[in-house]
Amino acid sequence: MNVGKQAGPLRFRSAQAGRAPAQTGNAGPSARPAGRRRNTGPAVLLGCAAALCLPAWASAAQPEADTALQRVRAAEDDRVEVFERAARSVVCIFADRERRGGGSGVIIDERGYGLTNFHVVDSLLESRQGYGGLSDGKLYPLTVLGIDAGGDVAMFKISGKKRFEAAPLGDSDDLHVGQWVAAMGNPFLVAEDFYPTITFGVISGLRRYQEGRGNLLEYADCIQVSTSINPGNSGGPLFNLDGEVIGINGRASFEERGRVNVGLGYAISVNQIKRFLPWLRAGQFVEHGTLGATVRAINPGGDDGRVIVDAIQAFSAAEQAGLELGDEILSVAGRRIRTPNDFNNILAIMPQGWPVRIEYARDGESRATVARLDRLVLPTRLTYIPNLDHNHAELRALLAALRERWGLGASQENQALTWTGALTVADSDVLPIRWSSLDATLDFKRQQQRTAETEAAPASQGNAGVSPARAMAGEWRILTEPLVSDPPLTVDWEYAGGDESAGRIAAVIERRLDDGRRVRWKLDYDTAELLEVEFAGNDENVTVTWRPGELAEFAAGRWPATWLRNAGASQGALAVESFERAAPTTAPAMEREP
Amino acid sequence: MTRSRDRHREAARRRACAAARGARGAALLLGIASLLSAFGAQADGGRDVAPRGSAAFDAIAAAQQRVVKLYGGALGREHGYGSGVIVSPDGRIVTTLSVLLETPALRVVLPDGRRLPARVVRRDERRQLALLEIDAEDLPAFTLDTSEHLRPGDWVIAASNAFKVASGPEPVSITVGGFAGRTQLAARRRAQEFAYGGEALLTDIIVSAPGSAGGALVDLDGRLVGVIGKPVISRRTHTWVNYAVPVEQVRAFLESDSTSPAAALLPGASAPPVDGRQRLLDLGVRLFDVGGQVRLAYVERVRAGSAARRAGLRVDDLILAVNGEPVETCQEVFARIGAVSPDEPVELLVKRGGDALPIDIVPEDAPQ
Repeated sequence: MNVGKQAGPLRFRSAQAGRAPAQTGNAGPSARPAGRRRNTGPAVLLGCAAALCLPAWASAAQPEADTALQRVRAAEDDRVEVFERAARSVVCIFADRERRGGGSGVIIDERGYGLTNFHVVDSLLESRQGYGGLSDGKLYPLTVLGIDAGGDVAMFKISGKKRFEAAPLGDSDDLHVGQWVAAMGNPFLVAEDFYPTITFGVISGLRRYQEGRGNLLEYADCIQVSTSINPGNSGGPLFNLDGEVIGINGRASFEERGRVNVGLGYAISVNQIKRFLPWLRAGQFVEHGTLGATVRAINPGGDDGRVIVDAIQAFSAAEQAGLELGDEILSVAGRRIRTPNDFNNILAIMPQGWPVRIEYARDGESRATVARLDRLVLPTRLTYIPNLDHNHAELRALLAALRERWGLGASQENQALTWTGALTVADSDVLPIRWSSLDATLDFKRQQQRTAETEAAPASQGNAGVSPARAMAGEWRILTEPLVSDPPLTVDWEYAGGDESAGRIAAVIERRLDDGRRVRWKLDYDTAELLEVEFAGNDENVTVTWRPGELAEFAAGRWPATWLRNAGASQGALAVESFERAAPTTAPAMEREP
Repeated sequence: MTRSRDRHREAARRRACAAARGARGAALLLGIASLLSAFGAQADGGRDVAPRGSAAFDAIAAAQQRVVKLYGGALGREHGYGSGVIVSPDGRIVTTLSVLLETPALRVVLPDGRRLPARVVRRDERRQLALLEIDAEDLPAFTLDTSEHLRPGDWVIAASNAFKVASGPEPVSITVGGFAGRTQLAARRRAQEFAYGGEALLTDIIVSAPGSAGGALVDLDGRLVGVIGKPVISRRTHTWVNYAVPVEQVRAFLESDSTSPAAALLPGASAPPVDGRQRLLDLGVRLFDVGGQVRLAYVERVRAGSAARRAGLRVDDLILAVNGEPVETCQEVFARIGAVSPDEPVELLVKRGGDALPIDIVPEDAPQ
């Protein structure tokens, strides 16, 4: 079966744009009513009820219908309001000022970060520059940031205003077939004033799978909608009735009916995109993950819904996680697996390196393991060179948020922290792995002793002239650099992408040392809360992780507990006991039931 | 017979009046309000998305449990997949006639994912329906009742295996839209005519996608109101018609004991066109059916003593409509007449000079 033909990408091609003016000739910028209220302007179509019987609307108000009428109108007013607000976040994307190329996008952060389809911006990858029209009728320059070619997602940053209207992201795991949804964008490029076209419909199916080309533009676990999705809608948002983005519209089934809507459109679910956001934000080229194993139904065509592992690649994530042939897969990432499709669907929405919990049964016994997914190689040679300036700007913004959480204040960016005492890292006894290249064991206490003993005689182990104590300080400094640097960080650090920690999506910043060691800080993507610090020694297989909740039990090492704040001339102590103990991770007390 | 004609007239009258009369709007409004609340877009702002368990969501779930996916033979542009509705707990399934059935390897995939071989046990060339059987028990099944309660503007839900996007136990696709009205199909299936001349339920849901045919059209209570018809292209606009065969026709098909042979059609063959030309001759009418591509339906001859003569039809009358449906060419007249069963009256509208005259031809053996 030729699925590529069934469901094609929806970028509006320039060649077609050439034929479009016949349709759009009369729709000048003035075509949009100035004050849109009910029954005027396009938004009224949102009341899809209204679309069916609009002529009867005004004259039909018989007394017994008043209540119903009022309810319908009140609901419609609210809906119109929600989508008027949502429309301000929608972007009409063009390749140049002549408005060639074309697609849609949505702003998800008031600084101008937005989402679209990869296939909308793939022609811009060389210059990274494009244009975005907003509902205010103006055209703004935009820059392409990170891309996820496998999942057909790209991030851009639109500029030219200090603050943009951003749409909130919803939860695409909380959707139901039959629920109303609205798509916005610029189908057939009719919006000459950039006010997006809104189409309304219902969710027709969930967790659908639409094959890509090779591993490119694959739509796994996607949302199927009856909402009209036409060429030019690509990259635009799918909204729920709260005005939250629940997906990015990207393709539709066509086949034989021309490139127009036939009632089956597909949106990439926003929960998939959330996992890729850290990479996209950092301007990275992000690839999807693979387990390196396949499954088959035990009883094909049956209804028992049991699948077993029938192939495992050598050295793959599946092998390293301990899976064996014949294991029955029960769940992946918390989702029950009943068919090979279920299995493929859930894995195809995970980024490379993502930790995935797998529950399986072997010899009648239930087990669980966590696999770090391998990279799924794309069948393409995309030359994508990340922009380091942008990367560092993102990293600084992320750390500014973290420092603000720690009471350092974003406005005092040059504040630095040091831990108390020259080397008296509170309670830190041992750095638990071969972290240092200076000392094979690096027993902190022993070093302290030795320093005291030999006093003036500097240690000579490969680093003459530097006392072990001082070397230790340098080592510690590397680990804690995101907080102690002044100004924050050197160019050695990089915004490396994303990860999952304690079920939350984390942004990862990373420093790699020349000798192969690596430090990673993982911060909550939304709140910048520090989730964990992970460091890996020369020996690749050993990593050690500090997590806030686990400090007490973590015998081998402690995070410095007491820090000093150096702000200009003033100095003050700052207790950062266990990373974030002071920060509420659950609901604040005042919200508890009385 | 006369009852169905009356209903047809009533429907036509309703269609004509609906646009002009505001009174119907009130009823529609109530319907809309009920749907909005059924789907959770309430008056409190439409923010409270979807109270689950409400009627419309129940209807969707019920429909998905009663629609099966069909996989069979493909031929040229005919797709090897489609939909069917379960009409009895012991595995009787109704679908539309198509090439897909013409294979010994016909398979049904039940909503729970079971994949079972199916047999075609009966065909109805006129309604273009087929009855399948599978070996299964205790299936959730549709009750075949009525579609009479549907009014234009009512909400309907379509459930089908469109574009076969759902596989195995995945639920079939759901779309929601309005019931638009009833009509008869003056239509072509690609290039090939078929004879179904009964009522069709029209909807604004796109149900003409590949694989949709044989799927369910249900109301907000989850009751089956129609079976999605096979793809039909409008002769005038060259667009696909979105229609369903009413549940009454499905019931009549199942209840009819005139079991047509279950022998397979030749692949690609459609229903043999009922010979409207011959039937017209039986009524005593010959049309001036010679000349170019478009042959207007002028009467060439009216046989003396025939039903047509008794009804007052004359030579050189131009036939404008058959049973309320406008016609332009001889071919269309034949198709229309062919769809009317031989003992039913034929209601013509003819142009004679400057007048448009109704002519009701009653067959000789028809009840007077």
